[in-house]
Amino acid sequence: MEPFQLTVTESAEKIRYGQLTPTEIVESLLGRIEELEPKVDAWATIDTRGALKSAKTLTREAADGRLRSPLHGIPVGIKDIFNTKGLKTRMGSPLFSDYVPESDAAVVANLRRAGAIILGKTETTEFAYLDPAPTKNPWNMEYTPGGSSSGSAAAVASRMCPLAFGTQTGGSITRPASFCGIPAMKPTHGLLSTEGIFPQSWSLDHVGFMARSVEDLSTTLQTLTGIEPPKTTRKPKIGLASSYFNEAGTVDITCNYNKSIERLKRSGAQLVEIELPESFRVVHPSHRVIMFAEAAAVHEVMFRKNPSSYRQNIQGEVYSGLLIPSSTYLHAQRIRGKFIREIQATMESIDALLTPATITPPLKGLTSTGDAAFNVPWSFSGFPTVNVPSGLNDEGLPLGIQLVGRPFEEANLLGVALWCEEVLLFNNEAPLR
Amino acid sequence: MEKKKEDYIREYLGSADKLGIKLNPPEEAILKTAEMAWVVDSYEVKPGDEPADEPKKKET
Repeated sequence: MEPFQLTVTESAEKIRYGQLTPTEIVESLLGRIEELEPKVDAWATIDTRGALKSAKTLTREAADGRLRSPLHGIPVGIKDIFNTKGLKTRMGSPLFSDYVPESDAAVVANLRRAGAIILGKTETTEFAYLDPAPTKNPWNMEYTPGGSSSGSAAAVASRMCPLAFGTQTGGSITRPASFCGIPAMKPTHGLLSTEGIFPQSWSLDHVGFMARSVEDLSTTLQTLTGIEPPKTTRKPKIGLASSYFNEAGTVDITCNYNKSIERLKRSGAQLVEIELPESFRVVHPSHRVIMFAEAAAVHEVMFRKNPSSYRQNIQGEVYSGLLIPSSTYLHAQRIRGKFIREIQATMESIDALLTPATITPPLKGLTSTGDAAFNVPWSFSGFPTVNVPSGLNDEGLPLGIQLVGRPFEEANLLGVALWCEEVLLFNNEAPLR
Repeated sequence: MEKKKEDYIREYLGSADKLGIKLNPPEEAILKTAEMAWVVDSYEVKPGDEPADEPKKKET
């Protein structure tokens, strides 16, 4: 097996036992990038020199038996809105085409300390909103990979890196991961610092990551936060909220969701119907008000100077956000407080809530990155989520399920996700057609 | 209720003139935001529904 095909866990094991060096892994991935990047367009910047230099140091340390963490020598892709010292960070915008940060975002600094290798910056939609990146879906290049963490999802799915980081304000981690057929995690809001990351909406932005197995997600989170390992789950108690999530999706989404539920049930999951709180009906409007008002505050000065440097969708977001009265913004934040309390109470008796990961399968064409409707409630509440790939539609495009946990109970959520992954057994090798 | 919604949206859109930004932004996005803002403002919250904090860790 070529090193580029290895997962985080497999690479770490080979490094630990001296069967493979970080330099060999980086060289293999650079070869893979050279071969595929012209087709996939997942990378904004590839740091060949920096990655090889880090790999050399980490190879030496590994040879001396000094492993910094389970991520020692693991190459990582970083969404191009995270500051990276000395490496261009363009935010998907022409306004930042020459911006080179003087320091790393907190997560990037932690990754380097843990021995991860920053392979490069992955493509993002403009300022992590809806105006698409050039990236294609590795399952079918005519389809969107989703967004806004488009490049991170496509790079992992096409085996150009085993792990990549992104951000989510609405559905920007779960949706691209689902569209590209890979597992992803958005931990509880605030568990991973957003310091040094260009904000979309500071009270909603989450840092998260994508890999090719739930075990890799777990290793990554444990390394960065020191949380407990996943709790082994025998027969998880899983909540369903069919009144909304079984009706709002397209036919293939609902069909796959129900098939997944059936398989989990046959394997022993205890499934219980839960009722969404009354405040759920205003979650989406409240999320939009908060996101747009905060984005407008972030962008106002730049936007007034260069309105035409912004593309169509983000123009609409910032412009209409500037019109939102402060009382409406605060009202939306109060609704958020209410929803968090109510949904937390609803989820007390279950291990995780299960929903489809997306409302549609990947969309044809590269003009839209899709709809975040099924992800918004969890970005709004800040609850942790994991995407687990769960099958293909008739066009051979990936579909996924979204597991939602209670805040700061990531170990429990990852335990359920590991169990579901074993039951659903998805082959995540993208055909690159 | 409908009248109130129309008034709300009219007022919201009217405030655009005060922004002083020379741009013809996408009307659909602005109209949708106005409608969403109206939904938010029309939803009753009670004392105790304070602005959201971070989700809290359970006391152990």
